[in-house]
Amino acid sequence: MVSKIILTVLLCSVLFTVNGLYEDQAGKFDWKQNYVGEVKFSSIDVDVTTKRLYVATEKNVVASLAIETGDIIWRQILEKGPEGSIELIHPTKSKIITVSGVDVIKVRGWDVKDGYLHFEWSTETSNVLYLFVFNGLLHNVYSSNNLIAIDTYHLETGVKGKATYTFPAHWFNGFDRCALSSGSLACFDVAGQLNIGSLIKSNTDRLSLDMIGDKIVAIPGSPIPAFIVTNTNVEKLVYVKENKVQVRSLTTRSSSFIYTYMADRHILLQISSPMQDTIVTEGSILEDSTVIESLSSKESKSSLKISNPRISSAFCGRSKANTVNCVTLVSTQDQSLMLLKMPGSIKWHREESLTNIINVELVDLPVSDIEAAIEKEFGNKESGAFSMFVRRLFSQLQQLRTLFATVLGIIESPSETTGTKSNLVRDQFGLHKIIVAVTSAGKLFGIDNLNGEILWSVLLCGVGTFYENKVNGLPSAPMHLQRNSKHLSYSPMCTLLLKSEDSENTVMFTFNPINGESKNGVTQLPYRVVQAVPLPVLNIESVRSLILFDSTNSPHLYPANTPLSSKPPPMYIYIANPTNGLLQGFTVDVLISGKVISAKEVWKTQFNKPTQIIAIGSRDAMEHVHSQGRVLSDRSVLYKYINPNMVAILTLAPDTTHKSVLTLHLLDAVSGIIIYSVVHKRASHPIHLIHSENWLLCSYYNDKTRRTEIASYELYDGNQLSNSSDFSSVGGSLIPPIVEKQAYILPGFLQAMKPTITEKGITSKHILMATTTGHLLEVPWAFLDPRRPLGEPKEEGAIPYIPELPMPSESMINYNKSLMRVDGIYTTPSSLESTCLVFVYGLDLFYTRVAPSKTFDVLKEDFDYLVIIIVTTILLISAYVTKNLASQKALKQAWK
Amino acid sequence: MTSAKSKNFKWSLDFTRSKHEKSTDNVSPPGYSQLAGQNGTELSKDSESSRLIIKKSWDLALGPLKQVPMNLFIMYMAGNSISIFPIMMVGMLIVRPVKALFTLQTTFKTIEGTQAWGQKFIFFIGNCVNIVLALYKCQSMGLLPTHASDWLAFINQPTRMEYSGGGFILS
Amino acid sequence: MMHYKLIFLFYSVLSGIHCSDSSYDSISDIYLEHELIPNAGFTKRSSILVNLESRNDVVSTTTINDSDIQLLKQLASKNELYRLKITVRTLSGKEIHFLTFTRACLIVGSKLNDILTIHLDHLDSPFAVNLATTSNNCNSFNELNTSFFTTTVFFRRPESSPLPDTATYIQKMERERDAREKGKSSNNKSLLGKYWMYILPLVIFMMIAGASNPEARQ
Repeated sequence: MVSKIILTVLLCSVLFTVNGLYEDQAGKFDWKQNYVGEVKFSSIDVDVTTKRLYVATEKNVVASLAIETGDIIWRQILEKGPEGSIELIHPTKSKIITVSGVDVIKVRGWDVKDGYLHFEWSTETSNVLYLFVFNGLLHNVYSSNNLIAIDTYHLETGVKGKATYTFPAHWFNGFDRCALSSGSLACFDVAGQLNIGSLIKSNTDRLSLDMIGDKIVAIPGSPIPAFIVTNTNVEKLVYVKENKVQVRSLTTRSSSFIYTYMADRHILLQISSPMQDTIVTEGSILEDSTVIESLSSKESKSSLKISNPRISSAFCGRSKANTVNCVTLVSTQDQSLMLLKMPGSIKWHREESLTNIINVELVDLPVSDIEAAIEKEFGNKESGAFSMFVRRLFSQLQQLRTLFATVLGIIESPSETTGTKSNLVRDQFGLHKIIVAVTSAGKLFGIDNLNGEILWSVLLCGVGTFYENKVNGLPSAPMHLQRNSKHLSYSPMCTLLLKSEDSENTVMFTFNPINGESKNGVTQLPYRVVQAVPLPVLNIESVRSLILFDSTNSPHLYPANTPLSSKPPPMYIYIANPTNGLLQGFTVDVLISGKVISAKEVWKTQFNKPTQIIAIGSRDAMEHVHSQGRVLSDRSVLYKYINPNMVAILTLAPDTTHKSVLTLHLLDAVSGIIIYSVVHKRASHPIHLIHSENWLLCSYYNDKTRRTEIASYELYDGNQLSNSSDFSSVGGSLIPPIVEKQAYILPGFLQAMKPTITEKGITSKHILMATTTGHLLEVPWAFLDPRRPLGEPKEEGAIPYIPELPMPSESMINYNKSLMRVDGIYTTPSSLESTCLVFVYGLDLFYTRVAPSKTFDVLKEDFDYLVIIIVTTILLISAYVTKNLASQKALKQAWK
Repeated sequence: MTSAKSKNFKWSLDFTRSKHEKSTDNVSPPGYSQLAGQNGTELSKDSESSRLIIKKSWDLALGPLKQVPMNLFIMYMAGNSISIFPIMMVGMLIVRPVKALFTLQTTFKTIEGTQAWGQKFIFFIGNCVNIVLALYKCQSMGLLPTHASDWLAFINQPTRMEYSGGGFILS
Repeated sequence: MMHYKLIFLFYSVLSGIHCSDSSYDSISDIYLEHELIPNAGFTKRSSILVNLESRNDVVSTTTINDSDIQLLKQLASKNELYRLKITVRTLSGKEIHFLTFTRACLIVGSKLNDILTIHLDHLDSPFAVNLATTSNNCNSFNELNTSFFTTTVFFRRPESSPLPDTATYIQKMERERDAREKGKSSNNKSLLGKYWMYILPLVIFMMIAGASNPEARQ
């Protein structure tokens, strides 16, 4: 047994060391970007000589950023979800105190220098209305028994303050009618009066003012009670000073911030963005509306794409020239964060919306001009011999010129003429691509995959809003790459499906994924699209047309009325409704002329009432299966059941005896036949599903055994190969495939799971798993194989079954770069069969490439070219010399 | 002819050479007989040499068959594992008889005598046996593509008759 | 292989019986409607009574009139789809509607023998109905001579999920440990005893070589 264990260990180590990275390879193929998320609260630290600012974000992150550069100095990640949502931050001299949580309030003190936790205390509360800090005391405003009660706690120790004091409950009438600023509660009452009362002391004195408003919001971080009241698009600033209510009209629609400038003077800073690339700031004295010239500025920057800027925090001071200078931290609706110096400019800019990526696509870059010229030369077959010869000469001249140019370093790049960025051309191995990311903030990004640089960004405000993913309530952005970069005469084309901002209808946003440009790219459709499916054939303009299914189940083609290059095969479309458990299949006839004949419902499946469809696992459309079977130890073949129309449907149903029941159904999307179903009892979230080739992996948390388990399924046709060369799902065999199943224990919790994919499918498959501990594991699928033998091995190279999956540190491909809050992993093949490109998104962005079967088609990077050149030249020379010598000798011999 | 006549005399000259004997390329000098130097006991050498030729031919013909036990032993010693030495041995086993079969004509030239046909046949059979043995060895080593798994790489993915797509309803 | 698969199918069909929950409102009958003219609506085909408790598969035959057969043949000759609407009624009167289809020529080609598979979830309530035919023959639809629809109804229940096989693994480890301990005691045979099969051929080879050498020298 020892030998077997040793064998296994050796095998594991062999399998895993190939994944390991050498120290000098770190950062060579990968990059990681840290983010903090959309800023909720912030404060600018002026005391510390290092100059920092502290932010608390929607992603439950507390972080310290350098004022000069915007780099993260330290970052602490709190609990996920509402448990860790930060309600309040309070900076003190040496600590930054956060208050987080909903039902249990946790107060934590973080060291300003390094983010170490100094103290933590918690208290249970309920019905919390507001939290604020005054005089070193945390005030918890909550409603109880028709009263507004306020508890106070000492902020650092959690010692409960004197007595709870109360106010009558009618003070508070809903969050949209009330606002709390600087310890004062302002509420509209039914009589149309604005009442402002302080909650700091238990007096019931209230200031009131006749004012009608639709909405009231507090000015964040204001030192005095200050509110913005909106009434039919007219904004008024209401503030309390020296126990008197003052009202000031605001002319422009802008975000305001109040800063204590002198003891009784306040600066009102206002910021607005009339256009996407412009920022306008204004500064004035609050009390007398004197405009401060030095704080008024207007800045335009073409690279800037912002909407609705908002001052999160500011610091003002007097300069030597006796003008007022301010530093403001501005967050925008598109979740970017920037530091604005007034007067002056934007010092830095962070795109924090990249923490909320909802859809990613890696798009190939177009070929360089020279290659394009060559392609054109061979692509155009109709032209005569002479013109081809001329073109040939021309392209070779061009090649020669660029060769000289690059050798001499005159021109940096050959493709300057087209106006695209110089380095954005396809490389030989297809490793250089562009990451197109859609963020829930409504911003699109084009990111260079080699260095993570943002190449372009597009704001979607004014175009449309996102669809909603009914399964998790997050926005969803269906994106289809309709034309890739391979078609020379056309530019690539990517289409995003959005909802119209003022109706339920759908808007198609078409853009060029290489530069983000969109020429008349917005198409308003007169119907609401419920499903979009790309056709398997291109149209004559090399566009992969989409079948759009509208809410009345009638199909449309987009782009419409363009003839297709060939007759598409029969199309079947399925639509799953996650909430009512309805699955429908339709058949759609698409004519070669580009017209769609109406769809016909052909199958319907109805899951019973509380059952919800939580995930659909379909194979990657790009995936190729190279081997059609598996070789057994007796050299016979077990043929894989590869049904290209098979999808996996995961349903979750609450259950009285088993808590929740997770069922995996394998469904043929064409015929609607349920191929297989399997029930997982007591399974609960987090649930992840992978479907690739002829196997499936389903990870879930087992409530009974309290651990993460991965159920592995594999489908086989048997030992006989079906002799048909066509695969048809309609009227297919009744006999179900053989299903091999096995379960494994994962010592950890998964955040995301994805298989690697390569161009031809020859390379073995690995599974990338992001764990909650921040690791990105690369596990060979052989470890999750359901045919891992418990007894004698059934096939060569099979690893004996061990219930627990190994997690060796060599297989963590992100080495010491922890990836927190991973939302998803995207994998795409490169042109090298061995290499798969990986992009991990979440709170951090991480890009790397993996070679599951080692880089068998690439020379090692430490390959010694010099030695091989020297050796071959020496060999050649010596061969030549010896040949001469030998002939001379033979001559001499002959004369003897 | 000459030999038959010279049996009665110590030596003799024959001037009555018939025309058809001209074909002999070297005309012996007068008085020279090929058998002159031979004594009586050597007269049986003639049948002896043909016997020897036949024996030698048989040796040649049976050579491949005689190799069979040796080959069997080598095969046993080589084992079924695929590594450089067994492969070399199996290569030799297969190459030698194949080579022999290719040079069949040149080998058959040396085979003479009355039993030539049988010998040639035996030689051929022996080489065939050796090839069969080598093939058997290859088979037992798993080098012959006789199993379904050997043709697995040539199976193409079936073409799809229908295409499907879809997913969650967009709302 | 075929047998294995069929056994597998029946096993999967039968495996669910044990866990059937009698408290559940079970299926009473299945009402079938089919579409014989494309997009012209569904007409009644048959109604099948089901008793889940006593039997697990039901075979039912219903007659079909000549005009319908002609329509079916037309449908088959045009290579249209044959759609079947299934209404599953439960004892409490609840109705669940399903839709399934196959190619019309398969229905005719299999001489109106079809198989309905009703998929039941873990609580034994149906969630999908699939239609299949007994043969994959799509050519001989002109020699249809029967006027009976022979429907076999199967019920399939989901399998239960695999569990990490820790018990067997531990047993295996223990067995191997025992074997190793046993092996340790019996492993002290002499070198010759263990490797005689390698030594013997070597000796024979040497002997042969030794015997043949003197001859060669002569």
